[in-house]
Order: sequence, then C-alpha cells, then structure tokens
Amino acid sequence: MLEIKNLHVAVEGNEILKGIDLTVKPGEVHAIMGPNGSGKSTLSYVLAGKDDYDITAGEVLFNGQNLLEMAPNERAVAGLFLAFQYPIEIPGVATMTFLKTALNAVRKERGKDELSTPEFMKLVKEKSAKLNVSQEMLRRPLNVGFSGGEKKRAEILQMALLEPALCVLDETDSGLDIDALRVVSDGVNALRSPERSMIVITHYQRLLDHIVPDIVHVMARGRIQKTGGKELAKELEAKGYADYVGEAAA
Amino acid sequence: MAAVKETVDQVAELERYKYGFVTDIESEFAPKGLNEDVVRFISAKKGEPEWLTDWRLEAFQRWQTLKEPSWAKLGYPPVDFQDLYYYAAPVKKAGPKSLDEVDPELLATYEKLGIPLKEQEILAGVEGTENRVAVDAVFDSVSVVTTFKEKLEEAGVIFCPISEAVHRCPEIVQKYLGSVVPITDNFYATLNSAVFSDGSFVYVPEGVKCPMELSTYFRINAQNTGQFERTLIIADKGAYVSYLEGCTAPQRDENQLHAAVVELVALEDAEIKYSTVQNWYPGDKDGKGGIYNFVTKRGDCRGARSKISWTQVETGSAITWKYPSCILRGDDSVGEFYSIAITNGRQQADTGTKMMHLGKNTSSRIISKGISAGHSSNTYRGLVSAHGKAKNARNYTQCDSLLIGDKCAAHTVPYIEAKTASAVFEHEATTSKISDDQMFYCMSRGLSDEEAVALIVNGFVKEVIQHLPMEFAVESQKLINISLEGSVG
Amino acid sequence: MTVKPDIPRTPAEEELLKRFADCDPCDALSSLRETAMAHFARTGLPHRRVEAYHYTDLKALIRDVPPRGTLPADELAQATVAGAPGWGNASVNRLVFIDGHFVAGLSDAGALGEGVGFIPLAKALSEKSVILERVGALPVPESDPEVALNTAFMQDGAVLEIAPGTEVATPIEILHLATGAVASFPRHLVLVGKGASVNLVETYSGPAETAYQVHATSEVDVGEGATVTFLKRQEDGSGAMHLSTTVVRLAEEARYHQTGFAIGASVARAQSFVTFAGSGAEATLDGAILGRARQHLDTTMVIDHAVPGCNSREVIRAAIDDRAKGIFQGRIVVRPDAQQTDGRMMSRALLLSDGAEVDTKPELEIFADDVQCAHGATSGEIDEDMMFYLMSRGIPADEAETMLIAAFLEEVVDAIDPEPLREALSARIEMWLGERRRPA
Repeated sequence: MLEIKNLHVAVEGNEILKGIDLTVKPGEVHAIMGPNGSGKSTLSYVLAGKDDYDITAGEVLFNGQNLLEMAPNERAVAGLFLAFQYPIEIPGVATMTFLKTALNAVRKERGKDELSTPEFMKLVKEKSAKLNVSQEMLRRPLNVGFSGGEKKRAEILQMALLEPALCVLDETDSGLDIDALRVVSDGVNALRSPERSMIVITHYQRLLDHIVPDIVHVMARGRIQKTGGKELAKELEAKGYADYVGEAAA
Repeated sequence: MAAVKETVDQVAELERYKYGFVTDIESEFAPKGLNEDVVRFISAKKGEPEWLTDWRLEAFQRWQTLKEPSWAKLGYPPVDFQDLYYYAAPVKKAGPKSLDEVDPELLATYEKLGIPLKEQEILAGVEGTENRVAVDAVFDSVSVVTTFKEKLEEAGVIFCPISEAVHRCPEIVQKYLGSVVPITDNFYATLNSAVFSDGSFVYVPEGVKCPMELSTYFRINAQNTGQFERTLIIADKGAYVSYLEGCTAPQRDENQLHAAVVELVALEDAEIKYSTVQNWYPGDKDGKGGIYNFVTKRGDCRGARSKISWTQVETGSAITWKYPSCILRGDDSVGEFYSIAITNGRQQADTGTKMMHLGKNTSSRIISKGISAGHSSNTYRGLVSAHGKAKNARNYTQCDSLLIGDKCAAHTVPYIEAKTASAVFEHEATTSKISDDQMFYCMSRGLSDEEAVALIVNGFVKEVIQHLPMEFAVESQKLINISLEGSVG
Repeated sequence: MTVKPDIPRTPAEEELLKRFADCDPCDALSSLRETAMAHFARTGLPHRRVEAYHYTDLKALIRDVPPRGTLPADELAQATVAGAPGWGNASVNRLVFIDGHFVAGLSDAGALGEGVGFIPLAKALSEKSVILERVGALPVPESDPEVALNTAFMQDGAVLEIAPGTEVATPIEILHLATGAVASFPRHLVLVGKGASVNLVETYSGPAETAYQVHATSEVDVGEGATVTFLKRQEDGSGAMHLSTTVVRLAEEARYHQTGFAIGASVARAQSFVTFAGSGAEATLDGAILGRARQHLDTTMVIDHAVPGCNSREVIRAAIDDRAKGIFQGRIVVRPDAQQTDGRMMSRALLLSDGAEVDTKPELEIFADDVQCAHGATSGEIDEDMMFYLMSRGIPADEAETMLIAAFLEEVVDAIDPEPLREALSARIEMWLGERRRPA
C-alpha cells in the first residue's frame, strides 16, 4: 500500500528526515514511536503534502502512485488521511458545510455520486453518534472553540466519513484524558479492516494499549532506529528513548 | 513700475547686508536670521571642505521653498525662523546667576534623581559653571574619556564629533551624510542640513563588535552641540554597535527649537541599537518655556540580514515631533521600534515610527506605550508599508495608550499599506485608563495613590524598558515616576 | 493681493464652479447651497495631502464631471429597473431613482404603510416644504467636499419620516440606477421618530463601462430609542465613480446597524459620519469590500462619541484581488466628557493577488479617560495552514480558496438583518467568488 524509500527531508536547510524506509501492507497497523524532535510529525506532514518541506532524496509510492508529486487534495482522494495533531480552526466555515464539501469532493473524484443533503445528514448522524460528537458541535465553525477532545473526535469523524485506505494519526492521544482516549480509540478501531492500513504516531505507549499495532518502529534523530512487534512498545515504556537517542548521537 | 523699484531695493538691501556681514566673519556669532551668508559663515567657522559648504547651500535653497508641516496633532505658536541665531558661539548667553533663580520644580526633580549639586548647576545652565567642570563633575576626570578613546581606537571604531570626522575621514562622511535623510526630506531636516552645528559620528568597521555602549561618552560630547544636532552612525558589514543618546536629568536649554537629524546605516549582517532618553525641559506647569523638539531619525538597513532597533523613552520637551524609522532595504533585514512617550502638564507629543519594507522577508516590530496625564496630548503616528517586491514582509504592531485624568488626550494614527499579497501585517491598539480596581487593590495594600499609579505604569511600560541597556533601564523607571508626579488627585 | 490656492484649480473644479454659477440659485435651499459652494471654492476637490482623502485623491481621480441627467422616458425607465439587482425572495418597498430623479410610476411609495411619510425632495423643494429645514442639519466635518458638492447640486431624493413608535415591517429600498454617462446628486433625509424601527436599504447600480458619477448624501436622524438598520449595497457599473456619504445622528438609547457592501464601480468612496448625541446609544458599522480588476474601493468612517455612555463596533472585511485597491479608514473620536465610552474597531484584509493593495488607517482620537477603546487591523493572504487542512480532506485548491474567502466575509454577512436581505447578499458574494474561479 505504502512504500517509503530512503526519504530525506529538510526544512530551511536543516535535514530532519535522514533516510526513512517503511513499507505498510494492506490491513497493517504500524506504530511510530519516538522522542520529541525525532521527525515523526514531519513524516506525517510530508505524507499529507504540506508545503515548506524540501524532499532532498527518496520516493514514496502509494498504491503504486508517486505520492510526492500529488497535491494534498489528490492524496486525500486517493485514500490518504492525516488526523492532525493540531487541527486547524477555520472561523466562518460551519463544520457541517465543511464535511459535506469534503465528502462530495472525494466521492466525485472516486466516481461516486454526490450525496443529497438528507442522505448526507443521515450518514453524519450515524457516524457522529458513535464518536460522541453532538449536533451542536457540527453547527459550530470548524474546530473553533472546540476542546482538545472535541477536536480529536472531529478528526476521527472526518476519517470515518472519508473512508481512507491509509490513516495517519499524528499524536492523536495528545491532550486527551482517559475517557476521551477511549472514545477516540474505539472510533479508530471500528475503522480497522483487512483493506485499511494505519500509521499511528505517538510519543507514549498508552495509546497502543487501545489501538494495538502489528508492527512498532522507533524513530529518533530522523531515522527508524528499530522495528519490532507490539512488545517493543512495552519495552520502550519501561526503558524510555535514552538508548536510541544516545545510539543515534554516537 | 512699482514692482521694478521693489526688486531694485531688495537687491540693494541684499548687497548691503552681504558686505556689511563680511567684515564680521571673525566674530563669534552670526547675526540673527538665516540667509546664504549665514550658512557660508557656519561652514567657514568649521573650516569645512567645499563639498560640504555646497551641500549646506543646496539644502538652504531647498528649505526656502518648503512650508512648515502642519499635519501633526500639535498646536504651538509659529516659529519665526528669522528671529533665531543659527551660529551662537561657544560663549553661552545669560543663564540664571545661581540655582536660586532656577525653576524650583526643576530643582526638586534633580534632587529626586539624586543628581549632585554641581551637576545640577550645569544642567540648569547656571552661569560660570564651565563645560570642563561638567566633564569632571559627571565623570570624575578626563582620563576616563581617554581610556574610552584608546579602547575604541584599538577596535578601529571611529567615534568623534561629526565636525572632526569631516576632517578625519572625509570620504566616509561624504559617502553617507544625507544618504538616509536626504536634504530634500522635510522642512526641519532640510533646515538642519543647511545649518547643523555638531553631533556624533560613529563608524564601526567590518566585523567589529563595538566593545562598549557608546553612551557615557556622549554626555560629554553632547555639550554645546546646539540646537541643530547631526548624528551619523555607520555599521559596516557584520559590525555591531549600541548607542545611547540623552540624559535622564531634565536639561535646561535656552534654545527653544531643536531640530536634530540622526542617520543610521547598517550594511550586510550589521546591527545598530539606538536608545534614547529624551528629557528636555518641558516648560513649567502652565506650558511656559520648554523645548520644541522636531527630530528626524532614520535608519537604513541597507545590507541583507541587517538590523536596526530604536528604543526611546520620551518624557521631556514641550513639543515632540519625532518618528525614528527604518528603511528595510536589505533582504531579511529587521527593524524594531520600542517607545515610551509620557506627556504631562501642557506637553504635546506626536511620535511613532515608519517601517518601510522594501526587501524580501523583511520583518518589523513596533511596541508603543503612550501615557497622557494632566492637560497633555500624546499621539502615536506610524506607517507600516510593504512595497510590491517586499515578499513575505512581516509586521507586528502593538500600540497602547493610558490616560491619567480627564483633561488629557491620546490619539493613535497608524497607516498600514500593503502592496504585496504575501505581506502579513498585524496591528493592535488600545486606549484605557488605569482601572479603579487596580488602584483600589494597590492602595488596599498600603500604597499611596501616586505609588499605585507608578507601580501600574511601570507594569504598563515594562515591555519597552526591557529593551533599554541595563543601566538606563533603572534610571528610566525612576524618571517615569517623576514625570507623572502631580498627575493624580 | 489675492491669495492663490496652493494648487491650481483643475478643469473639473472650474467646471463645477461655473455650472453652479450658471444654475438658477433661487430655490428654497439656495443659501445652504451657496455656503456649500463657497466652501468648495476654497478647498476644491480633496487631494492626497488632505488627511481624510490621503488614499483617494479626488483631484486626480475626477477628470471631468458629466452633466446632470434628466428623467428618462417610461420605457427606458422600465427596462432599467428590470435590470436592477434583486433581492431573491425578500420583499422590499422600492423608491426608484434613475439618473438622480424619482420615478413615481415604478416605485412603491403608496405601499410604505401607516406611519411612514414620504415626499420626493424635488417636490419638497418646489413646494418649499417646512421639512427642508431639516436638510443639512446634521453634523458633518466642516466643509467636507463631497457633502458640499451634493448640497450645491442636489435636485431630488427621498424624504422619509417614520412616525414615533412605528415598526416598519418591510424594508424600504432606495434604488439608484443610471442609464448613461450622467452625474447625479441624490440627497436623502430619513427622520426616524422616537421608538420607531425601520430597515433601510440603499442600492446603487448602473450600466457597465459607462462613466457615470454618483455624488450621494443621506442624512439619517435616529430618534430616542429607535432602531435602524441601514444596508448600503454598492454595485455600480464598472466604469462608474461612486461617492456617497451617510450622516447619522443617534439620540438617547438609539440602535443603529449599518452594513456597507462595496463590490461595484471603478472608483468608490463610501463615507459615514456617525455622531452620538444621546447617551446609552449603540452603533455597529460593518463593511464587506470585494475588489477586483483595477477597482479602487474606499470605505471611510468617523464615529464621534460626543456624549457619555455609548458603544460603537466596527467590523470590516476586505477581499482584494487582481490589481485592485482596498482602503479602510476608521476613526473613533471620544470627546471630553464622553466618559464610559466603549469603542472597538476591527478590520481585516485578504490580498488575493500579488498586485492587490490594501491601505488601512484605523484611528483613535481620545479626549476622555474613562473609556475602553481599541482597534485592530490585519492584512495578509489566505492562510496556508487552513488551505492545507481543507485540501488534505480532498477539497480542491480553488474550492478551498472560495470557502476560505466566503468564511472570511462571514462575520459581516452573518450580521446583516433581516435574514432575507442577508441571503440575497450571500448569493451575490457567491456569484463574485464563482466569477473569480471561472474568469469570463
């Protein structure tokens, strides 16, 4: 599904990613763990197509397509979804309007009919109920005045609606209390399927208690330092990142 | 016919004046008024090269075509420019005979600032206190000055009166003088170009970080620079200099009109920090006396990545008209303006800055804190502009006014001009009074009303004070408290 | 010796002075007109050194002034009204002015309802009506040249009197249309009685690429406790010059909400002078400015807090594209003794093209201490992070941009009252945004 080969990325001349290789197969859930400043968020933004990053080497294939040449919306249509660590507030755009515009843009490009308003409302109602997203929240401007938990739930709601093939979750657990974490995790787990892959980026192991990964990568200093099974996360929980930071520095 | 006769008479008058004047060339002062001969006289007195005489004359010709600006929110009786002395000698005119004749409120202020008696006399312009004494009184001995000089010379820094620089390094002066504030700039700057008396000159060579704040020395240097001061500071590639002008003690001066020009040039990677504490005599409580301070200050960030930072504490003068500005010409250059302007009594201030973004990725920051008390009027006036080529220009402006008492006025007049889409400008301004709740809280903890005001005001201006060199930050805080005395109750 | 003006008179100024001299001065307002023209003779058209006109140099912009128009024939009038911008489902009562003249046959003057008095200014002038005493009675900055010109040359307009306590249900629209290259000087006077409420609309429209000029002035006197909404919809033709002034006085406890919608004309300046004359009053002045091509759109307002205890709010949004120029000048004045004033102004500009220009001058002029006043101004391009977020959800770039521009204007549009008018303007903005995506 996703193949990252020798990816090097720089920001204003500073190299942040120094050769990432990663292959994600359909249905797999990968966790990328690492200390702050290891390049985790950079990787997620580069996958989603944010400007300001210079790709100095390497390539990324998404279902055989050259991902790096696509505009952010083309990536979304092709089935890539990034759940933002800090969802952007957009005053003046009602959440509902946004969801409908996004869903129909994606459907249109995927060769599906646009949904009528009643069909759309029904779909949103159904999906939002599961994520504990109130109708009142949907009437508010996009992410404006949402609490941390509300923002993250709204991200997962978007994910559920757009039905991506690959979900990238960037620190989705940050700023969540234990109850909110459960709601969000349940929402994510409900989307797991043999066709859908996920990359879960996190600093802490606790999210991985809820979203159990198939493969865990440790990222530090712009590289994947170690890859293992879910037990690797437990090991990190116990020992911290010190080994990897030191190893990379040495 | 009448017109012809008039012209003939005028020419005759001119001739007579001209010749009558030549015999006077050895005298110590030029006659009242301003004409071409006075300009020549000043230049001759200083032994200036021909190019500078011509430069002055060009400015004078230009000045004659200009009108005094009236757009500032200021009200004052018209200045009669023919009723002033433009070269009035090292010999001072009559001042007070002793401290007994000096405005007692002024003396009270000196005392609060902890200024020694001898220095008080000098500042108040008491007759018989000579300049050399002033140097000693303030700085112990001339040897201090010498030490400074040696250290600066070691570093290659040229720091001297501009009249001396004209002879010491004429090519540098000629290259940069008037290159930031051209002689055509504005009424007062043009006048200054024609008749400037003296001022400071600083040249910091490539790669040199000036080893000390050029401040203390200036106090000495500032003696008798007169009313048309001219300052020129050049930081060559990669150089750094911090310069402090002024004095926290209120200086009495018989020159009512001050029209100074300050030019700063920062070349590639250079940085100039220019701090001012302006505390000229503001006049008595009814607004009598007091200085008219019409200053043109401008810095040119000529090279890439250069930086010019202005910090000012303006508490003095009856009238202040002053906009220290930055031309952000070099790509990635940075301009800053931090200002505290306090007006009390009948003072009027119209001050602010201009940030002119010309180069790419230039950024500027403006923090202005205006405090009005008494019957005073305090205006912030500023321009932020981005030209078509100033891609990614950035500005942040915060401009706050505090009103103390219901007879004063505070105005905010920003001009914000964006001519490129990628420029991002943010401007915020507020006007308010000290809240009753804040006052009550402070007083319920035992502060007097004046102490409470001082405390709150110091909080209000803190962001700017932080940008002053340390030794002046403390003095400035003291000064702010004194400036606001009598504003409560 | 005669004092020469600083700058020699332009042909347009000479022409205006000559035309005034040639007019028949003997009408009921001749002394008012003469005073105004005397002012104009002294000041001339304002230029960039006149502070209030710094960004709109009328001396340079007004090369000539076309002649005043005449009342058009019925057929032409009907065709003109048929092409006027509509209000969708909203119902409004229209007072139609074509080339500056009231067209009774196409107006709803009879439907205004009880408590609403209406007389065309031309009729009031010919009848020497006592109501004329109220013309020019509201405070405007001394010798404002735009108001002076309107006063000197005004011929017709709407004089509306809303009786105390009347709640006017249907919005009253004063519709200004043009048929060709003429100059019109409409002058309206709206007197709103104590406790009354009314929704007023002024609409301006005309043929494209035609050099007609509008020099309009409206005076709105809002009585004690009265509530007025005032929507100015400026959709003049692409060759037009639109200069309009709204003068408002608010009595005690009055409520006033103005929205300026500027989308048309080649050069436009809409200025408002609002004076608080009674305490406890509130005014909100909003503006949506949409500029493209080489349009020059100036919105200027002066809010004069002359008495204590009043609130004012201004929200301005300007979206400027191509090589257009958007200007906003807003001044909050707090006079001595106008304590407990609360005045806030926020202007934001979006530059949609590299050739676009936005000039902003928000001013505070404060003479009282117990006040809370603030202004903010921002300008910049469309937020990159917002664009990225929308696109990362599959929305194409042009659609994302359209959404963000509409969202940017939302705060102003959303406040328009009553709702049907808001919907009509939303639709107009959508059309503008649509044209932007698919250039003709």
